[in-house]
Amino acid sequence: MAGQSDPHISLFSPEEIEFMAEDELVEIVPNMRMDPLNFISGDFGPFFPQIPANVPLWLAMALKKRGKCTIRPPQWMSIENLTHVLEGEREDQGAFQAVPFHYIEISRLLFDHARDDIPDIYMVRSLIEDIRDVRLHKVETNLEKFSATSAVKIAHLSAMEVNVVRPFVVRALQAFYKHDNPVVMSDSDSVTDRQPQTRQPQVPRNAQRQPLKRR
Amino acid sequence: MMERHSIQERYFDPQFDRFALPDLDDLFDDDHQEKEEKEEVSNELVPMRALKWRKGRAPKMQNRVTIEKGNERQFLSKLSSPRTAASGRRHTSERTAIDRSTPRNSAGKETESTNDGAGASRNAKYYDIDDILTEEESGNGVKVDPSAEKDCVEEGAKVELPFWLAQELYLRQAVSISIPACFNQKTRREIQADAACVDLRSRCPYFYEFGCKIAPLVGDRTIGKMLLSTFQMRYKDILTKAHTTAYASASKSMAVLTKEETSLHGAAQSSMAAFKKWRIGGPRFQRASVLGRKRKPTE
Repeated sequence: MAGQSDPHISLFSPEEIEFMAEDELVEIVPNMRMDPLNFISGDFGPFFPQIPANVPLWLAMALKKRGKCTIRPPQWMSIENLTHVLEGEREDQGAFQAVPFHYIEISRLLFDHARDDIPDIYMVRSLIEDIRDVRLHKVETNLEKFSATSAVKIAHLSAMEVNVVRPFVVRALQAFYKHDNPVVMSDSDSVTDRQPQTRQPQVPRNAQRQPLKRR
Repeated sequence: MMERHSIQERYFDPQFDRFALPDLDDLFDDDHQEKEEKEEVSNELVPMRALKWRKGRAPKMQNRVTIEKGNERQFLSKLSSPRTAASGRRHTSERTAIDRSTPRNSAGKETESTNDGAGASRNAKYYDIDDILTEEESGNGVKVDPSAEKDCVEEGAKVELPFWLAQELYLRQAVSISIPACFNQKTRREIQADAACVDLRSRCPYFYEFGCKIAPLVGDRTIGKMLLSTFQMRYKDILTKAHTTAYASASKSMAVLTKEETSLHGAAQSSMAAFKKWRIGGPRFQRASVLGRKRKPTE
């Protein structure tokens, strides 16, 4: 409830979100030959030199660190696309542009480990940071708008942004619900009375109605 | 007879068992002295009242209830809410200090298991520290019902009691509760003027919770609406800065927030800080704290 004392209630840490983002598929170009890899999440087929393959991001990172492949940046990470998205964000203050769910985490991982595989990396990096700033700011301004609602729906929000606002929004909505709902307030009065509550304060059935003992 | 009662209380867990209000009338009863000598007593000298709930507890909350009787004052000292005793007992069995996260986590878990209608709504927060502290608010003035008879307090006297006691007495129809000071007209006018700047923390740090609890007892329908509108206005003005303000200005504005608003603010701050820290990157592994300490040379 809104009265909780521990502010560190956050279901996921950013590292965990990044961990979940690593399941996304990316395209790599291996420079060696390897037999198929059989994992629980799937089989990733035999690797031939210079033949592109789709693998999860964590596998791509592992191979890249060992120098066995190069990573192709995903489609949405081209400069034209990012510029287009950024302009769309700036124009439309009410809605969000459709971006990949994990764009922040994927872009950060690629910048850290696959620096030489991305053309015009500085441009791309600054564009993504601008997009992120604009979206966060939009989220905050939208938060001011809702009041006395029980549920909020925002389309096209990415995973990291959701995680940042999650504890705050959850508690705020709980507080609004608690204060707005007349049933909740009269509920806290009667303990064992399960019949529909009336507005007058009731004495619970098991409270002894005896007078205080005489001394 | 008293033994049975005390044993019953020891094994009674209000989270699971059927909730029975502890017998407050024993508070005002003086026939316990020979029984108390048999059981183990704490080292302090305690007055005869309210001994039942003080055996072997973890930090006791000291409370003084002042009752005026004409010119004399009589102190019912060292009254502690049964919940503090219960939570103290629970905590001494589990850990040495009252950990803030424990009552909430266990209360949260037990809410799922005892999720049956209206009964759970009170039991689930029984061990919640914030709930206990909310009920400790002694902001209310209590009037004694003329039909009651009680030795120490005259009828019609005005007494200040903590909320948990006032509620129990109200249910036994011994007192009637008047609106506490934090909800009076002066505060309301200030809130209407500018909700964001009203210093709610100095009045009552548990403003919203307290209002929710006291509204059914006082019979004031307008409290709910006032709470809601207050929260709306303050929320908009103050809390949306939570994600982005620098540290200095945040501490100034935080001085006026109630406990609930502070927790909202803290939640947003911590998640934002975690995100920024992650964004910077750096080594993923943290050095274990035991390795960091230098070993002192032994003589």
